[in-house]
Parts: sequence; structure tokens; C-alpha cells
Amino acid sequence: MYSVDLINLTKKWGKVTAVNDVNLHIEEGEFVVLLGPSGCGKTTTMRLVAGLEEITAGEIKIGDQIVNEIDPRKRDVSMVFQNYSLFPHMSVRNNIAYPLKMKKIPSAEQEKKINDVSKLVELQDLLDRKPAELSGGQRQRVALARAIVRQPRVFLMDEPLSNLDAILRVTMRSELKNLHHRLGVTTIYVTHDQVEAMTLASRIAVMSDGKLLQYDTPQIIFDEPSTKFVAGFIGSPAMNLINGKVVNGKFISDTINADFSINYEGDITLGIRPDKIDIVDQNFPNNGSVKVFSNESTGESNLITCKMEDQSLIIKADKNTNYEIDNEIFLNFKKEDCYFFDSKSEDRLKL
Amino acid sequence: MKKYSGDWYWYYVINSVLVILILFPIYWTFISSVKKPDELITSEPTFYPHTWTWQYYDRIWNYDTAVLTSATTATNNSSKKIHKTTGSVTQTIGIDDAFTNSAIVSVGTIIFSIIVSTFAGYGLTFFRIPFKEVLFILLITPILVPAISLIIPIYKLLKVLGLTDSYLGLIFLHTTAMLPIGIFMMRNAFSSIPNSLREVALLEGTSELKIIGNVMLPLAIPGLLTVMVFAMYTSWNDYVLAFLFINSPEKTMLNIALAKIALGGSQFEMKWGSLTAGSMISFIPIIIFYTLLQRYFVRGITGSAVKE
Repeated sequence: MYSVDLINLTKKWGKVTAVNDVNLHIEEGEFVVLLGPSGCGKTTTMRLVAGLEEITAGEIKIGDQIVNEIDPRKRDVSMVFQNYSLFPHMSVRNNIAYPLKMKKIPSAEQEKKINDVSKLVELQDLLDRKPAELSGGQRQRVALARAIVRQPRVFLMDEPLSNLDAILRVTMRSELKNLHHRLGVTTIYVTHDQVEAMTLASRIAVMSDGKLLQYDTPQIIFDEPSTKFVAGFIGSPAMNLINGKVVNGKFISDTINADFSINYEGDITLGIRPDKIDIVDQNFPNNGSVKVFSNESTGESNLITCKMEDQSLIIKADKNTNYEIDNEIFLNFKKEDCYFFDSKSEDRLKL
Repeated sequence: MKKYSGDWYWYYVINSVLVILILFPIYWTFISSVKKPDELITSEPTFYPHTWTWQYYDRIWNYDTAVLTSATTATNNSSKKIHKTTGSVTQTIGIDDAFTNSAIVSVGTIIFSIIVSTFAGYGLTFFRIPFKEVLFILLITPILVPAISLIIPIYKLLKVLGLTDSYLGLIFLHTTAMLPIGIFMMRNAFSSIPNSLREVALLEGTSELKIIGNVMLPLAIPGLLTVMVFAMYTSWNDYVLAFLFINSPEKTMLNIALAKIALGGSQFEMKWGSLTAGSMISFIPIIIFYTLLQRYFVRGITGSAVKE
């Protein structure tokens, strides 16, 4: 098993910096998810590890070996692409056998490995088909099988589930998790889907604009987001972020106020998760009122959207509540449920 | 049932006219090659031969032998297939040999074109080369330059390389002439293959040559066959280059041989029957080749080789 280290890794495309001074240590056998919106540099980071892009500055280590100058053919990593990238003219068997053939492994051993792997991903009955005759999920399994059949040092996955439909995605997610548990190969996984990241990762690296914002376990990232961006990106529905300011220890925004006695002065962003907002009686000491814009029931709860001046607020309310559109509701929230972010730097303020 | 649009018959009207316009010269060549002399040379042309004859085919295919037997005594010291017509500079060989010559050059052109177009197209598609687009445009611009305008520099070049009056020289010229379109075709074919296929192969430790052989070419077959058709067409139909750069009678190309036979003899008379019969023979390989590959040819031109 191998660890992976990215040390001050930088990649520039002309004047554009795609990956900006990223430091990341991935333990042996870890499942690390690079998470971020499209264009944040996560895929580029992964391609740098694979050697498909040239490094502008910094270092990449696989195990104890610095691989900067090593040809992608010799890095001993394998990659699963978003579009599966199966060889259309080869049968499933030959697709899976391809890495073994390239390594000139004797055919008896090849046969055994193909059988083992195809059993693992449940492809035994499809070995003689062509990729065009398979469904999306099956193709994805072939791509996985091809990547794991030769036990690479590092396993790279570039949004492998995003071409699948919603139900299949959930199934494949658990299969991936199980597979990683069985094989224990160090894995780097790129996605923009925070649910995938939360469920699969042993650690998540949240990226934005080429920078690594936070690198920690899913739970810590959820509970203790280090920046406003991370807070808004993780969680479904996303955390509410309300721009306002603190005057005399009191949080004031256009619609919502809170007498928190905060030890701070100036512009600030208040963050609160949708399920932490209480809807209260008018008579109860509250923090302001908003109008209901829409009310969606998910079965287990009611999602209430309220439009404020320039942003909207989502409240996850009890399923038995019923708030009509255009009704005015009164809100309350506790200081310990709130996150505060500096409006300029967007860093978390511990207040 | 499929619904036809209201003016479907226009499709047939317009296309029938086009087909007739395109095929008529070929039809005319054919009927001229089977008419008897008195019907062929007449002030009232017939659109259908009243009496058929294959004598021109027989004569043109066995041209040299016929001449040779009639002039055995005069030419017993010259090589077997070469004939010299008295009072004329025309020297030629029979079209069976000319046919072989043209076939050699065409096959050579096809092989060279495929090799160069494949590598160039692959590089232009998948490699990161500075000014790649400019390079590509420069490579395909010569489509616009007629070979005839470059005759003198080409001649000097061949002279330096010692390739004048040789099959290889002509193969090089034909290959060069068809490369712009060949590179364009192969680049098109490779562009429709996802880059990630190459990257998967790369990460599995495949050499560039093996990637081309194992992964890319099997997926670019329509493009490849299109290049073959174009190479065949370019080489087989060439007249000017073959006329200028091949001097030895025994290396005469088919088109040149046909022209010489048609104008042959001291009387400066056009031998229409022989010419049209020879032309029909020269059509055969192109027609066979194109018919076999036509399916791919259309796909290759429209550039929809592989999409997952």
C-alpha cells in the first residue's frame, strides 16, 4: 500500500492558475474525495497525480518516490473516467484483460484474475459482450474492473458516477465503498456531489478556485466548516448564509435580527443549517419575520423557502406543520447553532 | 408506415437529372468502345450501338503483341514489349504492362499515404504541440495549389533525390498530392475518439505505437478506408505527373499509355475505339475499389467514426 503526498502543488495554464499551492497528505489505503464546483481544479489535481498533466511547481510523492518526472506509463496508477472510456471494439473480457496484457502476464493467470475481478463486480455473465451492449451501470463496473484488475499503487476516479441515473448512483456508491474496503487500495476520488463525498470519503478535501480550503473527515467538515464556502457547499439542503452586520453585539440584517451578544463589530455572515431554525409564535421572543415563498413536503419533513431581500432562506420544519404560501412566519435560532464568517475573507470566526 | 413529405418526387426529379448528367459521359465512353468503326465515326451519332463488337478491347489489351507480330522482322533486337512506330517518336508498351505499372504506383501511394496520414493525424489530434492549429492549416493548405504550378521545383527536387523516372519518385509525388486531404481525414477520424481512451491506455503502460495499433486504428477504420480511396483515386487518375516524370517506355503509366495509343501511329488520327475501350479498362479498379469501400467512404467524409 502506498501513501500519496502533494507538496506545494501548482499548475498554471498560461496565466490561469488551476491548482494553487495545494498540500495534501493521503495515508495508505485512504479514500480521499476532492470536492468542489466545476472548474475548481480538482480534476486537474487528479490528472497531475496520474501524470497526464505536467506540474508547474511543487512535488507529488507516491509512497517514498517523487513522481514529478515519471512517465504516466510507469506511475502504476489506474484511473476511471466519467465517460467510462471502455475500448468499444473489445469485448468486456478483453477490456478487463487489457492492463494484464500490457504487463505481459501469462494467460492462465490473466484468466484467473479476470474471473476474480468479474465476480467481485458481478460481470461474470457479460464477459463476451461489447461495451455498446451494456447498460450504464454495467459499463461503469467494467471500467472499475479494468482499473482494479492489476492492483495499482493508487486508484484514481474522476466523477465515475455522474453519468448514471439517481437510483443507480446510490447502488454504485455502496458498491464502491464495499470494493474499497475489500481492496484497501489508496483512492483519490473527484466529485462535485457533496453527498457522494460525505458517504464515501475517509477524508474530504474541499477545493475552490484551485485552492484547498479544508481537508478533514466528513463529520468535521460538516460540523466545523472552516470557511463560508465550505459551509455553503456541504449539507443538503445547504446551510443558510445571511449577510448582515454586528452592532453593539447584536446581529442585524434586512429581515433577521438576533440579540446574541457577539463580541465583534462590523460586517459578518451568519450561517445556520435549515433544521436548526425554529418557527415560533408571534408572541415568543423572536429574531424577525419572513414570508413563506414555497412549501415542499419531502415526506419526512417540510422544506419551507422564504425570500428575503437578496437571498433566500430554507427551513426544514416538522412534517406535521402547514404553512401557507405568503403567510408570515416568525423565526428563532440559538447562538450555539450559528456559524459566523468574516464577510471579506469568508473565514470562520469563532465568536 | 413512414410518411413521405409532400414534395418527395422533387428528390427523384433532381437526383435523376444529376445522375444522368454524371453518368452520361461514362455511358458514352462505353458505347463508343463497343460500336463498329462505321457507326463510331459518323455524322449521326447513335445513342445505342446497333451492332456490338469487342474488337477494340481485344486489340488494346493485345496491342503490343499485335504490333510485334506484324513487325517481327524490324524489331527483333528491341525488348519484347517495346515497340517503335516508324516515323513517329511514340514509344509505348501494351496496356497490360501499363496497367501493372499503374497498379504498383497506386498500391505504393496507398501504403505511404496511410502511414503518413495516420501518424500526422494522430499527432495533430492527441499531442500537445505549440501552434498545432497553425501547423494543421499549413499542412492542408496545399490542397489549393495545383501540382502543375510546382513542376519545376518538383523536378529539381526529384533530380536531387535521384528519383526521376522511377516508381518511387511518382509514389512520393502522388502521396504528397493526397496528404493534405489524407491528414485532414485521419485527424477527423481521430478527433471523434475520446481522448480518455488514449489516457486509459497510457496509464496502463501502452507505448504510443501500440496505442495507435491496438486502440486508435480499429476505431478509425472508416477514416483509414477513405484515405485509401483518395490515394487510389489520386494515383490512378494522375496524368500530368506521370507524363512529366516517367520517361522510360517500360515504366509508362496506364493513362499515358492510353493517350499514346489513341494518338499512336503516324497518321495523327484519333483511335476513338481503342481509347474508349482502354478507358473502360482503366475504370475497372476504381469502380471495384469504390464499390467495396463506398459505405465507409461516406462515413469517413462526414467524420462520424466512433462516438460512445
